[in-house]
Amino acid sequence: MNTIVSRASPYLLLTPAALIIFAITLYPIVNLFWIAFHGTNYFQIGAFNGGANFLSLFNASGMRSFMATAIFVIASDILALSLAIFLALLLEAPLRSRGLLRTIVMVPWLVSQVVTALLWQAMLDSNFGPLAHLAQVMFGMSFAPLGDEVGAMASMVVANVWRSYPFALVLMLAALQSIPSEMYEAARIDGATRWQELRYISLPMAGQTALVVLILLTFEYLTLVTIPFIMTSGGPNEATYLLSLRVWREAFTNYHFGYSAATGVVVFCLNLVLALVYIRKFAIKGGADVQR
Amino acid sequence: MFRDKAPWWAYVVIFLTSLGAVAPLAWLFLLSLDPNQGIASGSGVYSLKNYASVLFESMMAQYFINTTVVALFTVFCTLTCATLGAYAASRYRFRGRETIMIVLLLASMTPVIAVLVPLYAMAAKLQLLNTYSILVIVFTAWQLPGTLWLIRSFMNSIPPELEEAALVDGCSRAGAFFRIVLPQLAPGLVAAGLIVFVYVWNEFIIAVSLAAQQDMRLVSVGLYFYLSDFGVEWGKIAAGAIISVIPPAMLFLFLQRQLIHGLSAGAVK
Repeated sequence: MNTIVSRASPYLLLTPAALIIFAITLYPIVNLFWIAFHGTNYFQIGAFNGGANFLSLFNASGMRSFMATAIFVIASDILALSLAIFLALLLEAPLRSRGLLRTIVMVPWLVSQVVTALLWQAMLDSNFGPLAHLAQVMFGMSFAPLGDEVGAMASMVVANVWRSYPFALVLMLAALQSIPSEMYEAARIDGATRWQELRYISLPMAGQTALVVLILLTFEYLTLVTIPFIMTSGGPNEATYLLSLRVWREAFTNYHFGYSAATGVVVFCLNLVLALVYIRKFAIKGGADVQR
Repeated sequence: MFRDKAPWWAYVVIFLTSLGAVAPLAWLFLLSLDPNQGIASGSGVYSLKNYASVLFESMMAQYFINTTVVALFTVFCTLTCATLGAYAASRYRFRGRETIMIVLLLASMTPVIAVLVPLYAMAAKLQLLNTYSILVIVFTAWQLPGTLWLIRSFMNSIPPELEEAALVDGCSRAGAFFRIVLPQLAPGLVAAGLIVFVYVWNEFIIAVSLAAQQDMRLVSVGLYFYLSDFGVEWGKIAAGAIISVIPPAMLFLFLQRQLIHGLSAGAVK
């Protein structure tokens, strides 16, 4: 009896967590696939309709969403990661009041996505925003970035990177600081220049972390809804109608639950590929740093 | 690259970066103080009128209460379930342990947006839309995997010898847990709780999908609806935004040391 209880107890202890996670993440995913392959009328799930829901993605509007997502994710990734690496290299230097500077640079990280979106929407407002005012006074130009397709996408990337790159910066800084200084000393003795130190020591040693950061950032950007939801609502002319936003609007604005689920399946699969790469490469060895 | 000496231009770059980080928020603060709102150059008149009107003439105060209640319950549920699970994963050897941990990790990488539609349908069927319960349950599920991993790695860093000694001395397993493990776990729990609290405070898309009814909104949702409910009144929205940033900022400021201590102790095995 006693052994049965003590054998069962780890499972019992894990039960509450497992139940909640199963009910709220794993079961809904199965459900998502189910809905995606069925006709829907509001909440009523109808008959199996093959891949008909997925066809809604393969028209001009669907293609715009794929394009918009690709541009948004790639531009944000490049900008955030290169900023993070560049600033990490600088913040590693023995600057005066380095601790304070590091804290100040981190501030946007504390700001929520909603406030970030509202803040940048206000800053970029064509009537009273400070940037529009500046453009008017200094160059006599009007400035309405949220009104045109390229400008809206650029604004969204800027707002997104502003809030999210400090996270990448922290991880890159930690990676650079963990490089043993003997390596640099040895290189110095061999007459390496600063550029060679960067090229042959810093970047290769921090490369693994950069890859992890890149995957984590891509995760976040692929599934980001809040910023386009508030800043642009996908406009103008669907230029910022990201796949993730499409999932939301098909369901909660257009009540096409089937289309929404089909798009959700696509987003989920893109993520799953990233997740598997991530887990196989990094998480199994040092699982502690998966906190987002 | 610059380990030994910072080049002069490093200061310029860092200064500009700091400016980029802080200036937009400073501008938001100025905007919130401007009762005539909406003039970029600033009218030179400052008052707290916007704050008063956000707090007393809209439902924002209610939204702060909603968010605090939901956040506290979520922290409690997450920490309880995660600690039980982490204890099992850290102190017992059993079949399927590593598989369970990997499945948890996978679950933590589920995109929120993919499960919102099924969750909405489920909540509607169970008549849980626009309740605190559904938000607490969903947020808890969302934070559990990461928190469980964090607490487990923290628990792994606590040597089991003390507990074993207590067990030998006739303490029950539960007694050993409450008297010996829990006190040592406290900094880790504070760090994990802080992360969960700030997550709930800043969450938007789940909250707007499952609890958008006027009296059930969270702060972030309320801020968004301020635009549609009261028109584009940037001064007031700015005031609301500033108020909403204060609690997480304060928490980080006061608990920074515990956070860093908790996280680093957990990470080093």
